[in-house]
Amino acid sequence: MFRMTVLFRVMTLALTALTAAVSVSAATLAEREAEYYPLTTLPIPEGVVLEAGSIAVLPSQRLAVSTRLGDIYFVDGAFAPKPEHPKFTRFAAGLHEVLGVFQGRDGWFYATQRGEITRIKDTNGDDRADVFETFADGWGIGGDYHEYAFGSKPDRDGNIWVVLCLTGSFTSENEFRGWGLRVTPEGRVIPSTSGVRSPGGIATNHLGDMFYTDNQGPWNGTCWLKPLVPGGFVGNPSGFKWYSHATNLGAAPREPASNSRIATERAKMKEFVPPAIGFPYNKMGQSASGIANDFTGGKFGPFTNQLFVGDQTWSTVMRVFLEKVNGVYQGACFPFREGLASGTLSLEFASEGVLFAGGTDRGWGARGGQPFALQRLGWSGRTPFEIHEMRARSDGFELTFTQPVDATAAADLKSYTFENYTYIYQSNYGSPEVDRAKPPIEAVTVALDGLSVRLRVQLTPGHIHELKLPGVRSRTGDSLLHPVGYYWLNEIPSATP
Amino acid sequence: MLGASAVTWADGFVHVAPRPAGFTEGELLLGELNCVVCHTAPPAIRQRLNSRGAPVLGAGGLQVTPQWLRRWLANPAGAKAGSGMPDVLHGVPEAQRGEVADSLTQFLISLAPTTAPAAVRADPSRVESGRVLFHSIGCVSCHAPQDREAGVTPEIFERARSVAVPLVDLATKYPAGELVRFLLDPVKHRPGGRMPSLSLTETEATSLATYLLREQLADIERRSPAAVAGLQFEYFAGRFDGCADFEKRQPTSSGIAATVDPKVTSRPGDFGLRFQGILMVPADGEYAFSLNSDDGSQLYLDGQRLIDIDGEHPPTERSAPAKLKAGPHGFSLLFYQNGGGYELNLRWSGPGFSRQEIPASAFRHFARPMLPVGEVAETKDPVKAAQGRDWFTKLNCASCHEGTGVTPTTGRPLLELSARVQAGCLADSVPAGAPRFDLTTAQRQALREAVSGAARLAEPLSAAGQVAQTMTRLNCYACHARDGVGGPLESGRADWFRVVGEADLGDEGRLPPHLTAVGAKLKPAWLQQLLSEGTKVRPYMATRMPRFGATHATALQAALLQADQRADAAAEPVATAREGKLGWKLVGRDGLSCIACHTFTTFGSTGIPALGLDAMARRLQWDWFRRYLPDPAALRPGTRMPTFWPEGHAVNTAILGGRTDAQIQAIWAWLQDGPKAEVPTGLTRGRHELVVDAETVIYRNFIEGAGSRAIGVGYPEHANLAFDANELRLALLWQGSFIDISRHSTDRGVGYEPPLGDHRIVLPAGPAFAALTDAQAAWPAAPDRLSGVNRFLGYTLDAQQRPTFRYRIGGVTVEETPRPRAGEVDLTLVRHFRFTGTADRPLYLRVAKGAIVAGAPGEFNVEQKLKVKFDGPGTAKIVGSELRVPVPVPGEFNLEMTW
Repeated sequence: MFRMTVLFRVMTLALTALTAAVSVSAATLAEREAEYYPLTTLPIPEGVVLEAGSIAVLPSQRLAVSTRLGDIYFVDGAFAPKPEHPKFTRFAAGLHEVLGVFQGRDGWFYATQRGEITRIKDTNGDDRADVFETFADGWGIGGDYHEYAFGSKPDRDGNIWVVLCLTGSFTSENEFRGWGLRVTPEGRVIPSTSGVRSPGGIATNHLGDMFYTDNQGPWNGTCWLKPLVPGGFVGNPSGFKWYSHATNLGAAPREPASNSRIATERAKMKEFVPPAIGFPYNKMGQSASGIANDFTGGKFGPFTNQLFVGDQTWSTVMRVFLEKVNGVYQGACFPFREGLASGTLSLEFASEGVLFAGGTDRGWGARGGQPFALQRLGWSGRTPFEIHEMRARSDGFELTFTQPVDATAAADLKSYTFENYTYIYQSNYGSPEVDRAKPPIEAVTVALDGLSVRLRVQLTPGHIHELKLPGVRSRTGDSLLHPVGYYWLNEIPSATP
Repeated sequence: MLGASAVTWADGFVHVAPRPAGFTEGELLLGELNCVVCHTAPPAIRQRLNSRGAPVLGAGGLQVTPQWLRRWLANPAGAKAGSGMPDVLHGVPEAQRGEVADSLTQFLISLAPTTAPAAVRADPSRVESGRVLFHSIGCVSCHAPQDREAGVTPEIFERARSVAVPLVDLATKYPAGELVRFLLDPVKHRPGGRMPSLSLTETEATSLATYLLREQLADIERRSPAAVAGLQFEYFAGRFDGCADFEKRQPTSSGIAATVDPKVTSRPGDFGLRFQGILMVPADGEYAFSLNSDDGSQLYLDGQRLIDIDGEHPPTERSAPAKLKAGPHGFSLLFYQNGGGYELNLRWSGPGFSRQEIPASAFRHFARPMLPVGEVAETKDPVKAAQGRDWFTKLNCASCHEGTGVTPTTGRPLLELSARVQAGCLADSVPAGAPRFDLTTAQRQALREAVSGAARLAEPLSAAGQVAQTMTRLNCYACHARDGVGGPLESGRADWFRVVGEADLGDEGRLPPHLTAVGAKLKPAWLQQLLSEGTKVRPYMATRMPRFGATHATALQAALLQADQRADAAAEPVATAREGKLGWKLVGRDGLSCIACHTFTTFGSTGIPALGLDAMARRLQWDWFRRYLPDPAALRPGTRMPTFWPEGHAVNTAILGGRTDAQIQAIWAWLQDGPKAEVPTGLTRGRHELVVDAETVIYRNFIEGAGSRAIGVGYPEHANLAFDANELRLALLWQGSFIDISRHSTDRGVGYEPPLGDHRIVLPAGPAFAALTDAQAAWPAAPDRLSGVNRFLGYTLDAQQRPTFRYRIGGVTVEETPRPRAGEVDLTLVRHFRFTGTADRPLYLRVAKGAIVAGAPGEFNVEQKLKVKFDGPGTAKIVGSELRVPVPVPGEFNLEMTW
């Protein structure tokens, strides 16, 4: 009864939102976003099917783009202000769905195929690979389409991480399906993290810690960004049988209880590494995908060291602020850019301050509508009025903004709405939003410089904290470009003395 | 007692007790107990009560066993607690009661048709499919789950069992053929519609009945342990998409097979075979079964699936152990063949014997049909039957039960009972002559209140009240929520709602849709059809929409439409041809790619199998459609359907200037043509051939016959090979066209792609290299791949892109360079091998398997299809059916394969 009530409340809210949205006119959100982050589409030559599984930026403004159909292309001219004829050179072909590519310091290209990581080299300088060496293949694969392998770029220790989708949605039929494996620079495979379901992307943050996105399904009430920590378990127990092959890790943990909550089960399992970010289903997107860290030091605007995450179904790029509380990652996600041409899959920053986005909608429909695309997001130099960071405090949240806020509006409790909820942690697919609560915001404090706001409000571990700021204005009278943030909270910080 | 709550009612609505305004529990009971057949009421009241009715008797009814009828009539509440059938004999002195029940029974069997119920073959192998049906298609929405399956917690299981319409003594009550007849059309026999039809095929109904009557199988084994030799087989002509199809098909022919043999009927084309019977196990102990098939197969023992190799694939072998007791065990084997060659064999090993085909002597089948447990031969007694007819008349059974030709009488009208609610059937102690219902105090009280206020019932319910009342009576709430009430999540039965196969759709794929405002969503004709005839628009959903028959459908449909009517509903626009054309563009690849998820007629979508576009216009109202598309999650919380008009703004600005309303209207216009609409672009699935031109082409993917880490190589000479990097072996050779990769380049890339071309040579599965101390030893299995003993190392490409494979076998590194040479008619693949490293034991390469004839020194002919020429330093030898060549380490040789 309770659950249904919740569902219907969501429905009512959404209806209200729709009614409100229809009355908005003039520029669409995508058009307003484009004033700050214009999107450039790179023309793809006839005959090239660029379902971009991974993008690497090479020296001399060259890209390497790997595809689901198994090609690796070099793309030259992708940085041109108006790229009319970028040059595509097929470096390698006939590989098995490459969802991870980079060039190592040793000059080899490392490509993660479904069945192996391959080291690839062109030895005669004709831009065509001629040596393919199996670098690591220590996992099983049985012919099920769902058994994808997403490969990372190296972590701070030089390891490549591979996250392996389950066999189908529910089972692990072959070795290490549902695991994150580390591959050392020598090619040794170390089973590292269990609990993976259906990744959509993998990358490090600015500290070199590895994260991946995992999609709504069994044991995933919504889509998540999860940390990959050696020895950790990230939520889906379907692959537990492979602990028998992971002699470095010891016995499998006890399985979590279904129909529970993440916070409850986490308390019972020392191996449980909770998600860092929850992307609320049908609010932020529906299929979280590629991840990229803005390492450009300001060339992409004010979001240095934040993560950007794709959503394939919605053809969007989302923005993520992470913090560590009591040693555990958590943080907030915000909408960032919509209107990409295809279903966003791969994301990669270049030091020039541009973000490349590769897309595909094969097998999974996407708003963008194009079967595949390669696009570039740049910064116009204008700073949007956005929430910059959203940090948990012992008694609420502290938000910083990219521009000073109007103190009167920001100090008004009516400028905010707040609620929190979570998802059922269960072996069944997905979850409605449950355990909803709407604790009042008790107090708002606006900093003198107008760049930050403290909200005093009750926090609930294991919940998404949905904060909307419809009334907050900048000193120049603008509304926030995206007046919402979703903070997933694992830990409440202790009060700072 | 009828159950704990006044509205928890054993024979009808069960686990939810929603009480939408406007009607009471007592009113519900008045209808469920059929009170107004005796206590006549004005039409307005009768219509409002929508009474349940009772089973049809006589020639139009079902033949249940006399033994059960006697027990039932003597004490219905004892046979089934909470039954809606009152005790009508409580006033008869106890000593006489048995005799009266007997005469009533004789009367009822005298009305039965002279034809005996259809015989149903005793087939233990059907138990498992019946069990799966019972627990997945919707039976468990009202009835108790029988087995606690994996993933269902004891709490959820017990909760579901505690509130359920009981299934009592079915094995003693029903001849199996009668239960099948009932399951196929329940509403015909029980017009009240509380048991709806689940649109079963005859095969399904038989499986379900076998499962429900599984005690009869145990009984038949006791009564006739001797079964006759051989297995029963059924042959199904045509293509199968999976073993689940066996439940949906009618066999083309059937017969007895001595043993498991795919050639038991040999006819061309695709087919399926089902073998069923008994496996006689010779002794207690551990057995191992291994099944090898091309294409799919499944082996069941005692109703449990032991081996599953479902799906289209090359010869694939799987094994499973089983600890078995000596004696008979239910046996069933399903097999189907789609295109190409086929293969099926089943072997076993057990105490005292090694792996072998199961001999014919181990197979039996039941030649006798199922029979009700405890049934004894019954002699018809016309004298007793005549007495029974008198009792039937006197007890006024005909007021509820139609079909006997007895004329009912009526009692005091309902509206004259208000002063008598403590008397008659509602008295605390029911007097002789009045039927005694098994009521709780609360239920009796609720009824008394309803009878006192019966005049109010002449007032028709509001449309919303009618909907809530009907949804309660028909237990629609078990599956559907409406206005926040009911649905599987609330009932605690969500675990029994499943998807068919693996539709990646989440709860949306398994839980029936909510019905809030459904009268403003679906078209009246569609509502009528789906309530009356059931529908199957969600092929991924295991639970079926039941059929309640036309009467219920008409009433509920009208009430829904009225209750959910919207004052602001937009009038449906008139579709123009131009709009339809633009809608076609929007739906397809060059627009919004709706076809990425939605199916269209016989075309699968390119991704998940969401509802067919061809049925949308038949089903949906325009006003709902136009409100749904801009924000699907608002009308269907949690849906996977994204919007393409976020916040009302079109993401596609190229078509119709990005005008939201115009785009939605255009799609609607295209949908109007239903299945006749022009096929959207992106759905026509063509061949995607990798054409080999001047350079060699490599294709790494799932290749049929070469494993999950296959490397296909197409040479300009029109020679092709596939290397299996799991087993480190050349797996396939073929000529002509290389490969069609459309399976991998469309949709999600599902499945194994077979070679294109012709003259296919299949080389032996398993490791190509083995270290043997004894050259004659049996060829060993490969070491565990993850042990790293043997490893694939990669390949290099020459200037024409031709590969040299490198792999390691223990301490030996192998470099294999295949180069084709075109002959006049044949093709030759020259495989150059170079070996480095060290081997601690002699290493051999197994080149081929089959009927091999040696020719000139170093030359062999394999199966008259393949010529092998070996120029190595050692001597190639035929060992059994294998051609083995010794490997020089270090060293090299050429192996020419001509075909």
